[in-house]
Amino acid sequence: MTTPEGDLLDARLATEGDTRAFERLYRRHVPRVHGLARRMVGWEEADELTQDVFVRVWERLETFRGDAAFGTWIHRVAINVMLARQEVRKRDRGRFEDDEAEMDATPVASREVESSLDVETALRNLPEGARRVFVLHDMEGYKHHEIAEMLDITTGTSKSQLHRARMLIRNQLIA
Amino acid sequence: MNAHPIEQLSEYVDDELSPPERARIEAHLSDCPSCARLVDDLRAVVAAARSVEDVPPARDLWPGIADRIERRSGGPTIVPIESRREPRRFSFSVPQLAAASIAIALLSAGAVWMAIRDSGSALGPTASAPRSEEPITGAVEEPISGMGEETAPAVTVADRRAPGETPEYEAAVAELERLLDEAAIDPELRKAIDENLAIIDDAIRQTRRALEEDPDDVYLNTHLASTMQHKIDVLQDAARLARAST
Repeated sequence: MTTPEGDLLDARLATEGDTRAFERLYRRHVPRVHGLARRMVGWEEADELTQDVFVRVWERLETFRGDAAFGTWIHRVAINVMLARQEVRKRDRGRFEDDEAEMDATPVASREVESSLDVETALRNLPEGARRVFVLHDMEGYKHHEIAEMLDITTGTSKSQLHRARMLIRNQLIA
Repeated sequence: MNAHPIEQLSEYVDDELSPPERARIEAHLSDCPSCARLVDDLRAVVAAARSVEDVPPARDLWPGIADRIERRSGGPTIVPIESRREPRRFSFSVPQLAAASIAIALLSAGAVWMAIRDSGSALGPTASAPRSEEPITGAVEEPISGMGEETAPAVTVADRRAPGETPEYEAAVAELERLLDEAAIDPELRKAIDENLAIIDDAIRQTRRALEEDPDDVYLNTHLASTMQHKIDVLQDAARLARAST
Protein backbone atom coordinates (compact mmCIF):
# COMPACT_ATOMS: atom_id res chain seq x y z
CA MET A 1 0.00 0.00 0.00
CA THR A 2 1.56 3.27 -1.06
CA THR A 3 -1.16 5.69 -0.11
CA PRO A 4 -1.02 8.16 2.78
CA GLU A 5 -3.76 6.08 4.36
CA GLY A 6 -1.46 3.07 4.20
CA ASP A 7 1.27 5.08 5.89
CA LEU A 8 -1.12 6.19 8.57
CA LEU A 9 -2.27 2.66 9.27
CA ASP A 10 1.26 1.31 9.40
CA ALA A 11 2.45 4.21 11.53
CA ARG A 12 -0.25 3.44 14.05
CA LEU A 13 0.68 -0.22 14.09
CA ALA A 14 4.37 0.54 14.36
CA THR A 15 3.74 2.89 17.23
CA GLU A 16 2.36 -0.04 19.12
CA GLY A 17 5.46 -2.10 18.43
CA ASP A 18 4.59 -3.84 15.16
CA THR A 19 7.91 -4.12 13.36
CA ARG A 20 6.28 -5.64 10.28
CA ALA A 21 4.33 -2.44 9.82
CA PHE A 22 7.50 -0.44 10.39
CA GLU A 23 9.32 -2.48 7.79
CA ARG A 24 6.58 -1.62 5.31
CA LEU A 25 7.11 2.05 6.11
CA TYR A 26 10.84 1.55 5.64
CA ARG A 27 10.36 -0.07 2.23
CA ARG A 28 8.14 2.74 1.03
CA HIS A 29 10.31 5.61 2.23
CA VAL A 30 13.88 4.37 2.09
CA PRO A 31 14.53 5.57 -1.48
CA ARG A 32 13.85 9.16 -0.56
CA VAL A 33 15.66 9.03 2.76
CA HIS A 34 18.68 7.35 1.26
CA GLY A 35 18.70 9.82 -1.60
CA LEU A 36 18.68 12.68 0.85
CA ALA A 37 21.53 11.07 2.81
CA ARG A 38 23.60 10.58 -0.32
CA ARG A 39 23.23 14.22 -1.22
CA MET A 40 23.87 15.53 2.24
CA VAL A 41 26.82 13.37 3.27
CA GLY A 42 27.84 11.34 0.24
CA TRP A 43 27.63 7.69 -0.74
CA GLU A 44 30.18 6.52 1.79
CA GLU A 45 28.11 7.40 4.82
CA ALA A 46 24.63 7.24 3.32
CA ASP A 47 23.84 3.68 4.35
CA GLU A 48 24.78 4.18 7.97
CA LEU A 49 23.00 7.50 8.14
CA THR A 50 19.87 6.04 6.61
CA GLN A 51 19.82 3.36 9.27
CA ASP A 52 20.28 6.01 11.93
CA VAL A 53 17.33 7.90 10.51
CA PHE A 54 14.98 4.93 10.61
CA VAL A 55 16.02 3.99 14.13
CA ARG A 56 15.33 7.58 15.12
CA VAL A 57 11.97 7.47 13.36
CA TRP A 58 11.12 4.33 15.32
CA GLU A 59 12.00 6.08 18.54
CA ARG A 60 10.03 9.17 17.59
CA LEU A 61 6.89 7.52 16.22
CA GLU A 62 4.94 8.61 19.26
CA THR A 63 5.35 12.21 18.18
CA PHE A 64 3.79 11.62 14.77
CA ARG A 65 0.36 13.11 15.09
CA GLY A 66 -0.87 12.53 11.58
CA ASP A 67 -1.29 16.25 10.97
CA ALA A 68 1.08 16.07 8.01
CA ALA A 69 1.72 13.24 5.61
CA PHE A 70 3.98 10.59 7.06
CA GLY A 71 6.39 11.11 4.17
CA THR A 72 6.73 14.77 5.07
CA TRP A 73 7.25 13.96 8.72
CA ILE A 74 9.88 11.29 8.14
CA HIS A 75 11.69 13.60 5.75
CA ARG A 76 11.93 16.26 8.41
CA VAL A 77 13.18 13.74 10.96
CA ALA A 78 15.77 12.63 8.43
CA ILE A 79 16.99 16.16 7.88
CA ASN A 80 17.26 16.75 11.61
CA VAL A 81 19.30 13.57 12.07
CA MET A 82 21.58 14.47 9.21
CA LEU A 83 22.13 18.02 10.33
CA ALA A 84 22.83 16.85 13.86
CA ARG A 85 25.37 14.39 12.53
CA GLN A 86 27.08 17.10 10.55
CA GLU A 87 27.20 19.39 13.55
CA VAL A 88 28.83 16.69 15.65
CA ARG A 89 31.39 16.04 12.95
CA LYS A 90 32.07 19.72 12.65
CA ARG A 91 32.68 20.01 16.37
CA ASP A 92 34.91 16.97 16.25
CA ARG A 93 36.95 18.63 13.58
CA GLY A 94 37.19 21.70 15.75
CA ARG A 95 36.23 24.19 13.15
CA PHE A 96 33.33 26.35 12.22
CA GLU A 97 31.25 27.15 9.22
CA ASP A 98 33.30 26.58 6.13
CA ASP A 99 32.89 28.58 3.43
CA GLU A 100 35.37 30.98 1.99
CA ALA A 101 38.40 28.78 2.52
CA GLU A 102 36.65 25.67 1.26
CA MET A 103 35.18 27.56 -1.65
CA ASP A 104 38.60 28.67 -2.72
CA ALA A 105 39.97 25.19 -2.25
CA THR A 106 37.17 23.49 -4.12
CA PRO A 107 38.55 21.87 -7.22
CA VAL A 108 36.74 22.99 -10.31
CA ALA A 109 37.94 20.90 -13.15
CA SER A 110 37.84 21.93 -16.74
CA ARG A 111 34.47 21.93 -18.39
CA GLU A 112 35.56 19.40 -20.95
CA VAL A 113 36.45 16.86 -18.29
CA GLU A 114 33.53 17.44 -15.95
CA SER A 115 30.67 17.86 -18.37
CA SER A 116 29.52 14.28 -17.92
CA LEU A 117 29.23 14.47 -14.15
CA ASP A 118 25.79 14.27 -12.72
CA VAL A 119 24.46 16.52 -10.03
CA GLU A 120 25.06 14.10 -7.18
CA THR A 121 28.66 13.70 -8.15
CA ALA A 122 29.09 17.43 -8.49
CA LEU A 123 27.71 17.86 -5.00
CA ARG A 124 30.74 16.10 -3.59
CA ASN A 125 32.91 19.00 -4.57
CA LEU A 126 30.81 21.59 -2.79
CA PRO A 127 31.67 22.97 0.61
CA GLU A 128 29.33 21.71 3.27
CA GLY A 129 27.36 24.90 3.81
CA ALA A 130 26.67 25.46 0.13
CA ARG A 131 25.83 21.80 -0.41
CA ARG A 132 23.32 21.71 2.41
CA VAL A 133 21.48 24.78 1.15
CA PHE A 134 21.52 23.56 -2.44
CA VAL A 135 20.16 20.14 -1.47
CA LEU A 136 17.45 21.58 0.73
CA HIS A 137 16.39 24.29 -1.71
CA ASP A 138 16.87 22.95 -5.20
CA MET A 139 16.49 19.23 -4.54
CA GLU A 140 14.16 19.01 -1.57
CA GLY A 141 12.04 22.06 -2.22
CA TYR A 142 12.42 23.99 1.01
CA LYS A 143 12.12 27.78 1.07
CA HIS A 144 14.89 30.06 2.22
CA HIS A 145 13.13 30.98 5.44
CA GLU A 146 12.68 27.28 6.27
CA ILE A 147 16.31 26.56 5.51
CA ALA A 148 17.40 29.51 7.60
CA GLU A 149 15.48 28.09 10.54
CA MET A 150 16.88 24.58 10.07
CA LEU A 151 20.47 25.69 9.73
CA ASP A 152 20.30 28.61 12.12
CA ILE A 153 21.43 31.09 9.50
CA THR A 154 19.84 34.15 7.96
CA THR A 155 17.77 34.02 4.79
CA GLY A 156 20.40 36.23 3.18
CA THR A 157 23.08 33.66 3.95
CA SER A 158 20.86 30.92 2.58
CA LYS A 159 20.41 32.82 -0.69
CA SER A 160 24.09 33.54 -0.91
CA GLN A 161 25.04 29.91 -0.29
CA LEU A 162 22.55 28.75 -2.87
CA HIS A 163 23.99 31.01 -5.52
CA ARG A 164 27.50 29.84 -4.71
CA ALA A 165 26.46 26.22 -4.94
CA ARG A 166 24.74 26.72 -8.26
CA MET A 167 27.75 28.50 -9.70
CA LEU A 168 30.09 25.72 -8.57
CA ILE A 169 27.84 23.01 -9.97
CA ARG A 170 27.44 24.96 -13.17
CA ASN A 171 31.19 25.07 -13.53
CA GLN A 172 31.32 21.31 -13.25
CA LEU A 173 28.30 20.29 -15.25
CA ILE A 174 27.99 22.69 -18.12
CA ALA A 175 30.62 22.59 -20.76
CA MET B 1 26.55 48.82 -19.27
CA ASN B 2 26.25 48.52 -15.49
CA ALA B 3 28.37 46.08 -13.47
CA HIS B 4 27.34 42.48 -13.92
CA PRO B 5 24.70 41.64 -11.27
CA ILE B 6 25.93 38.07 -10.94
CA GLU B 7 25.11 37.74 -7.25
CA GLN B 8 21.46 38.46 -7.94
CA LEU B 9 20.98 36.10 -10.84
CA SER B 10 19.91 33.14 -8.72
CA GLU B 11 17.26 35.27 -7.07
CA TYR B 12 16.21 36.37 -10.53
CA VAL B 13 15.95 32.75 -11.65
CA ASP B 14 13.88 31.97 -8.56
CA ASP B 15 11.65 35.01 -9.12
CA GLU B 16 12.47 36.37 -5.70
CA LEU B 17 13.40 39.92 -6.66
CA SER B 18 11.22 42.95 -6.17
CA PRO B 19 9.64 44.35 -9.34
CA PRO B 20 12.14 47.26 -9.58
CA GLU B 21 15.10 44.92 -9.08
CA ARG B 22 13.72 42.49 -11.58
CA ALA B 23 13.24 45.23 -14.15
CA ARG B 24 16.81 46.36 -13.61
CA ILE B 25 18.18 42.86 -14.10
CA GLU B 26 16.11 42.30 -17.21
CA ALA B 27 17.35 45.55 -18.67
CA HIS B 28 20.90 44.38 -18.04
CA LEU B 29 20.30 40.95 -19.53
CA SER B 30 18.96 42.44 -22.73
CA ASP B 31 22.35 44.09 -23.27
CA CYS B 32 24.68 41.47 -21.76
CA PRO B 33 24.95 38.11 -23.55
CA SER B 34 27.32 36.66 -20.95
CA CYS B 35 24.90 37.28 -18.07
CA ALA B 36 22.00 36.04 -20.18
CA ARG B 37 23.97 32.85 -20.84
CA LEU B 38 24.70 32.53 -17.13
CA VAL B 39 21.00 32.77 -16.37
CA ASP B 40 20.36 29.94 -18.81
CA ASP B 41 23.09 27.90 -17.13
CA LEU B 42 21.65 28.47 -13.67
CA ARG B 43 18.24 27.41 -14.89
CA ALA B 44 19.80 24.27 -16.32
CA VAL B 45 21.43 23.49 -12.96
CA VAL B 46 18.12 23.91 -11.16
CA ALA B 47 16.37 21.68 -13.69
CA ALA B 48 19.09 19.05 -13.35
CA ALA B 49 18.79 19.11 -9.57
CA ARG B 50 15.04 18.63 -9.73
CA SER B 51 15.36 15.75 -12.17
CA VAL B 52 17.45 13.61 -9.84
CA GLU B 53 15.44 10.54 -8.96
CA ASP B 54 15.44 8.68 -5.70
CA VAL B 55 16.66 5.12 -5.84
CA PRO B 56 16.82 2.51 -3.09
CA PRO B 57 20.19 1.77 -1.51
CA ALA B 58 22.32 -0.86 -3.19
CA ARG B 59 21.96 -3.21 -0.24
CA ASP B 60 19.03 -3.95 2.03
CA LEU B 61 19.46 -1.85 5.16
CA TRP B 62 16.45 -3.29 6.96
CA PRO B 63 18.22 -6.16 8.80
CA GLY B 64 20.54 -3.69 10.50
CA ILE B 65 17.66 -1.45 11.43
CA ALA B 66 15.62 -4.37 12.75
CA ASP B 67 18.55 -5.52 14.89
CA ARG B 68 18.96 -2.11 16.44
CA ILE B 69 15.26 -1.73 17.06
CA GLU B 70 15.10 -5.13 18.66
CA ARG B 71 18.05 -4.34 20.91
CA ARG B 72 16.36 -1.15 21.98
CA SER B 73 13.09 -2.93 22.60
CA GLY B 74 14.85 -5.78 24.38
CA GLY B 75 12.30 -8.24 23.13
CA PRO B 76 11.10 -10.31 20.21
CA THR B 77 10.28 -8.89 16.82
CA ILE B 78 6.58 -8.87 17.53
CA VAL B 79 6.00 -7.77 21.07
CA PRO B 80 2.85 -7.49 23.09
CA ILE B 81 1.20 -4.15 22.78
CA GLU B 82 1.01 -3.74 26.51
CA SER B 83 4.74 -4.19 27.00
CA ARG B 84 5.91 -1.42 24.73
CA ARG B 85 3.96 1.74 25.18
CA GLU B 86 0.92 3.07 26.84
CA PRO B 87 -2.19 3.17 24.68
CA ARG B 88 -2.69 6.66 23.34
CA ARG B 89 -3.31 8.92 20.44
CA PHE B 90 -5.77 6.90 18.40
CA SER B 91 -8.44 8.82 16.63
CA PHE B 92 -11.20 6.24 16.69
CA SER B 93 -14.55 7.75 17.17
CA VAL B 94 -16.10 4.44 18.15
CA PRO B 95 -17.19 3.36 21.59
CA GLN B 96 -14.14 1.69 22.99
CA LEU B 97 -15.92 -1.24 24.55
CA ALA B 98 -17.48 -2.13 21.23
CA ALA B 99 -14.09 -1.97 19.60
CA ALA B 100 -12.65 -4.23 22.24
CA SER B 101 -15.34 -6.84 21.75
CA ILE B 102 -14.86 -6.78 18.00
CA ALA B 103 -11.13 -7.08 18.43
CA ILE B 104 -11.50 -10.17 20.56
CA ALA B 105 -13.84 -11.71 18.03
CA LEU B 106 -11.47 -10.93 15.18
CA LEU B 107 -8.54 -12.42 16.99
CA SER B 108 -10.56 -15.50 17.75
CA ALA B 109 -11.42 -15.97 14.10
CA GLY B 110 -7.76 -15.47 13.23
CA ALA B 111 -6.85 -18.18 15.68
CA VAL B 112 -9.41 -20.41 14.01
CA TRP B 113 -7.74 -19.87 10.66
CA MET B 114 -4.35 -20.69 12.11
CA ALA B 115 -5.76 -23.81 13.69
CA ILE B 116 -7.36 -24.84 10.43
CA ARG B 117 -4.17 -24.29 8.54
CA ASP B 118 -2.03 -26.02 11.11
CA SER B 119 -4.33 -29.02 10.92
CA GLY B 120 -2.93 -29.59 7.46
CA SER B 121 -6.30 -29.61 5.74
CA ALA B 122 -6.51 -26.21 4.24
CA LEU B 123 -4.09 -25.41 1.50
CA GLY B 124 -2.94 -28.62 -0.02
CA PRO B 125 0.51 -28.08 -1.48
CA THR B 126 0.77 -24.66 0.11
CA ALA B 127 -0.06 -25.75 3.61
CA SER B 128 3.53 -26.58 4.38
CA ALA B 129 4.81 -23.17 3.40
CA PRO B 130 6.76 -21.58 6.23
CA ARG B 131 4.92 -18.98 8.22
CA SER B 132 6.40 -15.58 7.82
CA GLU B 133 5.78 -14.52 11.40
CA GLU B 134 4.96 -15.96 14.74
CA PRO B 135 1.34 -15.59 15.81
CA ILE B 136 0.61 -12.25 17.31
CA THR B 137 1.21 -12.33 21.00
CA GLY B 138 -1.95 -12.11 22.95
CA ALA B 139 -4.14 -13.71 20.32
CA VAL B 140 -7.05 -15.57 21.79
CA GLU B 141 -6.40 -19.27 21.67
CA GLU B 142 -9.94 -20.57 21.92
CA PRO B 143 -11.97 -20.42 18.72
CA ILE B 144 -15.25 -18.63 18.83
CA SER B 145 -18.41 -20.61 19.00
CA GLY B 146 -19.26 -22.32 15.76
CA MET B 147 -15.87 -21.76 14.26
CA GLY B 148 -13.85 -24.40 16.02
CA GLU B 149 -11.90 -27.19 14.43
CA GLU B 150 -14.54 -29.66 15.38
CA THR B 151 -17.04 -27.91 13.14
CA ALA B 152 -14.79 -27.58 10.11
CA PRO B 153 -15.71 -30.06 7.43
CA ALA B 154 -13.11 -32.49 6.21
CA VAL B 155 -11.38 -31.09 3.16
CA THR B 156 -9.54 -32.85 0.44
CA VAL B 157 -7.62 -31.52 -2.50
CA ALA B 158 -10.60 -32.32 -4.68
CA ASP B 159 -12.66 -29.86 -2.66
CA ARG B 160 -10.60 -26.93 -3.72
CA ARG B 161 -12.42 -24.53 -6.00
CA ALA B 162 -9.28 -22.65 -6.92
CA PRO B 163 -5.62 -23.06 -6.05
CA GLY B 164 -5.25 -22.55 -2.33
CA GLU B 165 -8.95 -21.93 -1.89
CA THR B 166 -10.77 -24.05 0.64
CA PRO B 167 -14.13 -23.73 2.31
CA GLU B 168 -12.40 -23.32 5.63
CA TYR B 169 -10.19 -20.52 4.50
CA GLU B 170 -12.99 -18.73 2.73
CA ALA B 171 -15.23 -19.18 5.74
CA ALA B 172 -12.58 -17.85 8.09
CA VAL B 173 -11.95 -14.81 5.89
CA ALA B 174 -15.65 -14.22 5.45
CA GLU B 175 -16.14 -14.36 9.18
CA LEU B 176 -13.29 -11.95 9.78
CA GLU B 177 -14.64 -9.57 7.16
CA ARG B 178 -18.13 -9.83 8.55
CA LEU B 179 -16.88 -8.97 12.00
CA LEU B 180 -14.86 -6.11 10.58
CA ASP B 181 -17.94 -4.81 8.78
CA GLU B 182 -19.82 -4.82 12.03
CA ALA B 183 -17.10 -2.92 13.85
CA ALA B 184 -17.66 0.81 14.03
CA ILE B 185 -14.09 1.56 13.06
CA ASP B 186 -12.87 5.03 12.22
CA PRO B 187 -13.77 5.59 8.53
CA GLU B 188 -10.29 6.71 7.60
CA LEU B 189 -8.75 3.62 9.13
CA ARG B 190 -11.37 1.38 7.55
CA LYS B 191 -10.57 2.89 4.16
CA ALA B 192 -6.90 2.06 4.64
CA ILE B 193 -7.73 -1.49 5.66
CA ASP B 194 -10.00 -1.95 2.64
CA GLU B 195 -7.33 -0.65 0.28
CA ASN B 196 -4.80 -3.02 1.74
CA LEU B 197 -7.18 -5.95 1.45
CA ALA B 198 -7.99 -5.03 -2.14
CA ILE B 199 -4.31 -5.11 -3.04
CA ILE B 200 -3.91 -8.49 -1.37
CA ASP B 201 -7.02 -9.88 -3.06
CA ASP B 202 -5.67 -8.74 -6.41
CA ALA B 203 -2.38 -10.50 -5.71
CA ILE B 204 -4.25 -13.66 -4.73
CA ARG B 205 -6.31 -13.55 -7.92
CA GLN B 206 -3.23 -13.09 -10.08
CA THR B 207 -1.39 -15.92 -8.38
CA ARG B 208 -4.35 -18.23 -8.74
CA ARG B 209 -4.57 -17.44 -12.43
CA ALA B 210 -0.89 -18.25 -12.79
CA LEU B 211 -1.38 -21.50 -10.91
CA GLU B 212 -4.12 -22.53 -13.30
CA GLU B 213 -1.40 -22.60 -15.94
CA ASP B 214 1.18 -24.28 -13.76
CA PRO B 215 -0.44 -25.90 -10.70
CA ASP B 216 2.76 -27.53 -9.46
CA ASP B 217 4.93 -24.42 -9.45
CA VAL B 218 6.52 -24.37 -6.01
CA TYR B 219 7.15 -20.63 -5.98
CA LEU B 220 3.59 -19.77 -6.96
CA ASN B 221 2.16 -22.10 -4.36
CA THR B 222 4.40 -20.69 -1.67
CA HIS B 223 3.60 -17.16 -2.75
CA LEU B 224 -0.12 -17.89 -2.66
CA ALA B 225 0.13 -19.29 0.85
CA SER B 226 2.16 -16.29 1.96
CA THR B 227 -0.29 -13.84 0.44
CA MET B 228 -3.28 -15.58 1.95
CA GLN B 229 -1.54 -15.55 5.31
CA HIS B 230 -0.86 -11.84 4.81
CA LYS B 231 -4.57 -11.24 4.39
CA ILE B 232 -5.16 -12.86 7.75
CA ASP B 233 -2.34 -10.76 9.17
CA VAL B 234 -3.95 -7.56 7.97
CA LEU B 235 -7.26 -8.51 9.52
CA GLN B 236 -5.48 -9.36 12.75
CA ASP B 237 -3.63 -6.06 12.61
CA ALA B 238 -6.95 -4.31 12.37
CA ALA B 239 -8.04 -6.18 15.44
CA ARG B 240 -4.91 -5.18 17.29
CA LEU B 241 -5.57 -1.55 16.46
CA ALA B 242 -9.09 -1.79 17.71
CA ARG B 243 -7.87 -3.42 20.88
CA ALA B 244 -5.15 -0.84 21.34
CA SER B 245 -7.71 1.92 21.21
CA THR B 246 -9.39 0.65 24.31
